[in-house]
Amino acid sequence: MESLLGFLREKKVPQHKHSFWYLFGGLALFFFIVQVLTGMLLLLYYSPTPATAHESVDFIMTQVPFGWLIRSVHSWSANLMIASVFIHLFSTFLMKAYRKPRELMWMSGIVLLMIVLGFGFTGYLLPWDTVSYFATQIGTEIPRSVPIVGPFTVQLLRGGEFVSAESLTRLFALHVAILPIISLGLIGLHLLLNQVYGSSKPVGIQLRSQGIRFYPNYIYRDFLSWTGACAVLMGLVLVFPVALGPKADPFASAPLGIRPEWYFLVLFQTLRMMPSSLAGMDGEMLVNILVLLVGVGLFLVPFLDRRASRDEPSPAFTILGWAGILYLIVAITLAYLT
Amino acid sequence: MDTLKNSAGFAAGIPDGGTRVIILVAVLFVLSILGVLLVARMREADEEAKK
Repeated sequence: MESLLGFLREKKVPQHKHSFWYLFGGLALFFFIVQVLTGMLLLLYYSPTPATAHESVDFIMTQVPFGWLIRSVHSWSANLMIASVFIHLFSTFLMKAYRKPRELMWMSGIVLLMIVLGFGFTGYLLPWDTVSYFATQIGTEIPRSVPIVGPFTVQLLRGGEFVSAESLTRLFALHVAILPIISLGLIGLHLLLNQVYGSSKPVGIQLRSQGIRFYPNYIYRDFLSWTGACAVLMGLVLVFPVALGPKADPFASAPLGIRPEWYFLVLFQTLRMMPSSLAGMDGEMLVNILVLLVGVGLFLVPFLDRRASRDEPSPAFTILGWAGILYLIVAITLAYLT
Repeated sequence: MDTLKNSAGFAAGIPDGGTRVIILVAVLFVLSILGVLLVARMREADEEAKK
């Protein structure tokens, strides 16, 4: 323990005008911890079958002391965790923190982003209410147009042709067992690499000092940001508590204006804007291929940005990063407005 | 989603706006004390590091 503290005392965190953005990695971790704790509490009462899922969530909301609060914290914390991960991704991208020797740290972060989105997707169906049922029905349909693996992916997620009891079992298993195990391993690796390599200093930025010690100086800043995050979380939970919709009826028609969660709105809006056929190719398939290319491109950014790896400014990647942020904001806004 | 403006009973299990405001004030009070303590410890640690 003493040697670990000694190591953390030796570790320095760079101080410069963009140091504030380092906090978002820690915030994502904070919300992940909240997710694990509240998820374990919800698991004590939740029952993952179509006949009992909605009733068990209703029981949590109405009979379990502070059950409504725990469920709201779980739901809002998920949103804030995903928002923190996105901010962490873009700030890391714009500061070119992916450059040598932190390639593996960046790559593990991209996989963690996918897993975090996977948590959101798999958790959405669990209350088995009307909106979650039909949103999952639409969401699990999207990969179908991907060549070769599309139909298999849909089958794998749903466990059949439609969203059913098998889908609930599979998404539940992914949400509470498979994804947590993978994410724990990856978070461990991500944090270990962070301790080994430290935080990256952006290219061409003047340092304010030699940096502050990780322990205890930076830890206090982290805890302070966690306290602020806790206040924001509780504010959202208590002003906008999450209600439970009516139980899903698979035989009813889908309600109008159904929309996915905000973090899938970029995909949703891109699919809406894409013509049904472009240059002889199916529009949905094109979007899927585009998403795949963006994902692979992001994963391989440390090797594509050769200038950053030589500690030189790479304005093309900076423009790409800002274009990504702009597209995200415009697509989400359009999805809400139209 | 409910808001503080909605009346009680909008969603089963969720207490009315007044009760939620009381909980929020209590939580923010505790968090602000914690925040002040953390700032004090952080400044202390920063001063120590400067020596």
